[in-house]
Amino acid sequence: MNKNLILAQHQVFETDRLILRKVELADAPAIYDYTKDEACVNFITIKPSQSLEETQIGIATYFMENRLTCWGIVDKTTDEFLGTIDMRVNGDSGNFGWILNKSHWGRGIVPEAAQTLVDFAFNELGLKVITAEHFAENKKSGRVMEKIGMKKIGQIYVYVDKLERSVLCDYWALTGEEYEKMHG
Amino acid sequence: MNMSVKLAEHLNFETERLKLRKIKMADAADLFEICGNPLVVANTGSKVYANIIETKENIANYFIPQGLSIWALELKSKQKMIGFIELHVNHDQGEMGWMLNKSYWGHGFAPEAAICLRDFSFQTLNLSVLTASCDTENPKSSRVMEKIGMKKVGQTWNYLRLEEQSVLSDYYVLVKNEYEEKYE
Repeated sequence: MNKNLILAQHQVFETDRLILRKVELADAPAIYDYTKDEACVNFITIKPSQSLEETQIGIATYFMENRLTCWGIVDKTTDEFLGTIDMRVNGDSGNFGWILNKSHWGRGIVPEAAQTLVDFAFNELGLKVITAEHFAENKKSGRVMEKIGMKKIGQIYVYVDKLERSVLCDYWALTGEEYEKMHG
Repeated sequence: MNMSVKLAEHLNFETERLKLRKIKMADAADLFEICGNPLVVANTGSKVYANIIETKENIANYFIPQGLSIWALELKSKQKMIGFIELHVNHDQGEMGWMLNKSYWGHGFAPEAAICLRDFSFQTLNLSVLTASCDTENPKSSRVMEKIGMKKVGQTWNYLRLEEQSVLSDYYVLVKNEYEEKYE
């Protein structure tokens, strides 16, 4: 089946503690709350947000334009918007990215959201491989990849606009075959 | 200085046995010997050219428009184009790739050309990272990378649009300070 159709049929996911749903303009204050936080965006490619309007533009130009492959992460009990996760699909591969409000780090939120998308990627979308990378100096981020069963298969240099230089990143992958072995 | 200006100022290079120069329509027959051979094109993500017409279309639509990043390898002794080499610059990093007429494999022509562009990348373009990828099933190509001082830092998954599937590639890197330690 057409992958975009499958994505369109899976706009909402529910996990133990979380709802994954589409990002709306109304989420701007919650997103601005963490994207203005230098510590929160330190190890990812985006710059700290300078204003609520900049965040709104970011929602319109990134989350809306890539609506099929981005999800907001919402706390089921408090309805609080905690962060976002995306799985950019390119043919038979998917590349993960995420950001989480710093006040919710260490609760296993990202692995919980990511695991749902991993299951979806292999069971519904039929992808061959999913990948993710993080700044090599930010070792903590690799814990998420490990928890969802990814393996570090190397390092790559990624050019980062805000730093105006290439950054060494750890590169992680999980294939459908490996996933089958773990869960089959 | 602007990177394109520097590239435009270096349209030609000369090594011991090769001229590196821009590709022109008159190269169609020689280029077809290269890209029309499935053994050369296998595992590169490119298409095997069917005939001279298709070769000319690719010269017009790819090799000439992308001219700043691609050089023909002309064998001086025969005045024949025996391959081409590419250097795609993305800010402070460059990615190299090459293809060689099968009749000229095994004579060190690819390393000879790649060393020339490697030195140009670090000394003139002042890049900080040089990378190259090859299919994990293509050990010949990886020998070239080793000969020019690159190191394999891992593997990456690359989606090949033409083949509509992701393939695992070996990923090689040479960074500026390693280059300076080894070669300067």
